[in-house]
Amino acid sequence: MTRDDSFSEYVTAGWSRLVRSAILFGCSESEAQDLVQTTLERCLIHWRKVERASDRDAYVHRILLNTFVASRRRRWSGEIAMAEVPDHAHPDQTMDVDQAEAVERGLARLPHDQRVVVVLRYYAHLSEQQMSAVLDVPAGTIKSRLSRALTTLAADPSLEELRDVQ
Amino acid sequence: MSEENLSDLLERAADGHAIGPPPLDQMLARGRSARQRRAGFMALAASVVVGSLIAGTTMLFGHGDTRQNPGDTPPSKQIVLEGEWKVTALFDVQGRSVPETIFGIRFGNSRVTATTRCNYISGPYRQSGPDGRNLEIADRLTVLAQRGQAPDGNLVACVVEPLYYSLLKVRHVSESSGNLYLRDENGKTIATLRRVGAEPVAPILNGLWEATPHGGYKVRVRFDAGTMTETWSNCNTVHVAYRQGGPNGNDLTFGDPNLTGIACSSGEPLLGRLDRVRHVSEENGNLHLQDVNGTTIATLKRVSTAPEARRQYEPCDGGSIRVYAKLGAALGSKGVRLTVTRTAGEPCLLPTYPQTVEFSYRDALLSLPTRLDSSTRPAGSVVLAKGSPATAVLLWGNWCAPVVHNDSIEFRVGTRRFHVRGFVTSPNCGENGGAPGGESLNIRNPIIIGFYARGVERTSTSPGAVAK
Repeated sequence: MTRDDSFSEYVTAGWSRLVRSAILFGCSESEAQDLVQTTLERCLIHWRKVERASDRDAYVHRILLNTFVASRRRRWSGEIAMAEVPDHAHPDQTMDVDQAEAVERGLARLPHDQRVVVVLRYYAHLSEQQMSAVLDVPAGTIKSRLSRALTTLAADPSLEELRDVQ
Repeated sequence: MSEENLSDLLERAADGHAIGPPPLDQMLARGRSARQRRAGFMALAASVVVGSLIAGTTMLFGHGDTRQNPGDTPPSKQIVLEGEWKVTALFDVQGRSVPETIFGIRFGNSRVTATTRCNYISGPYRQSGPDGRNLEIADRLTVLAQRGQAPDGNLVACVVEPLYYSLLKVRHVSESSGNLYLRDENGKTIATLRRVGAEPVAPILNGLWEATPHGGYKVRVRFDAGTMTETWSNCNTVHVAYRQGGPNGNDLTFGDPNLTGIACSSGEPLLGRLDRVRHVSEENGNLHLQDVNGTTIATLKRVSTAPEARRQYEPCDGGSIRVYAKLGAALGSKGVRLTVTRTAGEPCLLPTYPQTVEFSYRDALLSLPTRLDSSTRPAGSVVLAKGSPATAVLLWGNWCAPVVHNDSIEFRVGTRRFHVRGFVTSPNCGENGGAPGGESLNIRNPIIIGFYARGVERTSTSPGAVAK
């Protein structure tokens, strides 16, 4: 299998997941797609190295996170680019939308480092060891960030379902 | 509510965002340009420094060793589908969560088999891609539906389950913390599965092997949970991560070796050849490690199977065994999940299926409906150890005819009988020949007996099963 074939298979399988991770980090949809595209292009240049990595997902998430942090440093993000103006009618998905918004609001209230560990742990399903490698911090720090984040989320009135998480 | 619910909330929140397809061509084109620019730069830089590097390296390390540091790049983990799974969450084609299920799914021999509340669903699947992340299930699955007789005398089939349609949409799979996530082409989660029992030990490699004697040295090799351990002449030990894949487990690759001793300078027959291994086959007790062309690189001779495979257990006799039962009903079926727990003593063997299932009404035995043992699992027994319960699901229809009144089920573990009570009337059968107001459940042929499976975490005590 050529490098491009292997890369294409990985992207096909993981694209949506990575974009959604970026959205949970705090990106808009279009921003998340740009971010993941940039991440994967960086990976492609060193694809053989990515393939040999002991944990490919952790490796790619590390690059994704670095790209995200770098983009936040240099970009004023007060204005959110939209692919289209969201003024058209939707079917009634009130409950789903409410819930999704509540989750995203809950995440947005967390400090950045806590938000990232929640997404990596509970959406990307990385282990504490993998997260430690991705974030380059000790496992104990990961645990304390997760603990603080869960406490905050459990106290969020719009996330009642999480009250017993602790 | 557990941490799993946080995962579910995040999944649902993320699934609300429609994601388009990846701009693959654009990425590949940019990647090629970047590589060309980088290659040009590297060639220029290399021409300047290569001479001094070669000289310096030779001075420092003599001949040098091109092998990477041990443990730097073990192979990434292949997703292992083979084995039994329980569906812990299922989403229908509209993305709505399907209420609690008693589904079980088994992957094996390139076929997926699902045991649902009502039907057996099976069909071939193909796993491919990096780390086995691409998964396609046949576009048409075989459905063995329970059939019942409607009041007008016609045979009717159960409603085809949401699981059937969901499985057809599966394109990708990922695994994390013992959970398996089946996803559609957009990466949306279709189902979450949790493994029932341990990951199957690779049958080809399992056990202890001896390499062909080499220079008078005795070399032994053991494969265990992704690591090959090789010892030779009681002198050195090498640990190497391996990855086994392919439909029959015949694909095999090794990572970089990790040496634990350097006391013996020679005599190791395998180390320098492992990086060429791509396939493995077993024949007459010999394990052949082969290169990409199928040429044998090394041959190992079986010394013994794994200890756990050799150990013999006594059949469970019903002593020190506790049973819980949980009733379920939906889509034309009723069922009960029996959870069997060993409370004390040595592990024992359960038979493949619950034995002698009988229906009774007010303690009088009823005639046994036709028994249909599930054939979705190879014949074999389950080791029931303390702290590792096993479950089996019994299914039967609740169509309204023919009517058999029952208020309990009896079954046996060894010589001991267990009695599950608490069945109630099927609500819609009164005007169709049922027994309104009674304690009856309208059963029909056949009753389907599910196999015992290990490792279920959750039990229920309502209604309970008591030993008679």
